[in-house]
Amino acid sequence: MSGRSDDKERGPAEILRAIDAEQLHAQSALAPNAKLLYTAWGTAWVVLFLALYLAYVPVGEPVLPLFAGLLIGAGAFITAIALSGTHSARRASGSRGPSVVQGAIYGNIFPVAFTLMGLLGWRLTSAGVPTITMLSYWVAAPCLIVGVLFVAGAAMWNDRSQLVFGIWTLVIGLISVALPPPHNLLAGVLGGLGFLALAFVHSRRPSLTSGPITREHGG
Amino acid sequence: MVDELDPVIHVQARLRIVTVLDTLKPGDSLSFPRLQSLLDVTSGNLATHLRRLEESGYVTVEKVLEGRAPVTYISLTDDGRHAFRVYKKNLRALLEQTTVL
Repeated sequence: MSGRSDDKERGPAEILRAIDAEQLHAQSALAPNAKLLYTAWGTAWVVLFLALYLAYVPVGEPVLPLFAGLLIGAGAFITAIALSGTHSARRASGSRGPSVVQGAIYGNIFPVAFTLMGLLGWRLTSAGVPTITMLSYWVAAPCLIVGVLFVAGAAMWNDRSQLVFGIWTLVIGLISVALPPPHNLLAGVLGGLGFLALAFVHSRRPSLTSGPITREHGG
Repeated sequence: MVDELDPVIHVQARLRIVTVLDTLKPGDSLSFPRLQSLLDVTSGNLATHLRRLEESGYVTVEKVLEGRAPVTYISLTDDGRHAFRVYKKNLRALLEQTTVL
């Protein structure tokens, strides 16, 4: 609907097509860019879990010192948080109402859950659980938090991209539990590669990875 | 050809405004500058058409203070949402009619 003329000049088919195009444009301008988020988090996961893995293997003579692995991993994770947070805030700017409040409550539950996860991990380590055994916890617990929250978000907003992201994260959590540490860290790398693949699929066939899960009738 | 369609919405600029506002959830609103950038129109043009839509009860225009700056927010009313549904339904009916003929 780029012209400025009166609609008396256009036929119903043309107007309906223009409405669909305008709505698609508005929805994509107001919602976060799924390709950007998949790419940011995919890269962060690959870098984080690969750096940690290289800090444990080969056993006894790792490629990276643990400190370096943690530093690289934290850097990748913080970069992804900053990038996705800034992008989502920019897309939501100029909006107001119940959806924004709902989004703020949802967004703020992530740091709360991760803080609790960190405290529980610290408590278990303090109680004497070996660091290598704790690797199962440090991979599966964030997958559980992110996976469950994203699937819940998909149910709340009828959003396919959150559903795909959430389910894939839960699958990675399950795979990580099946693998012995430190090789369970490779599940995180696989998870990141999955997100990068989703970014690729999204650029080719966006309807597969984003948009509503179920279409509204009568609109 | 499409004379029986709602004359308020059946002006391209106003149809575009209603179309964008309809993508928001009920109760949500967009700031004037954001709506303007989405539609890529001048502020004078947008204000003129918003006034007409407001007079018809299709949109609400609310001025609020954010910090010290006044910001105008626009949302589609229930009547506006309903009118847009009816407008699209009538368009589809017209399309079927023309296809049959």
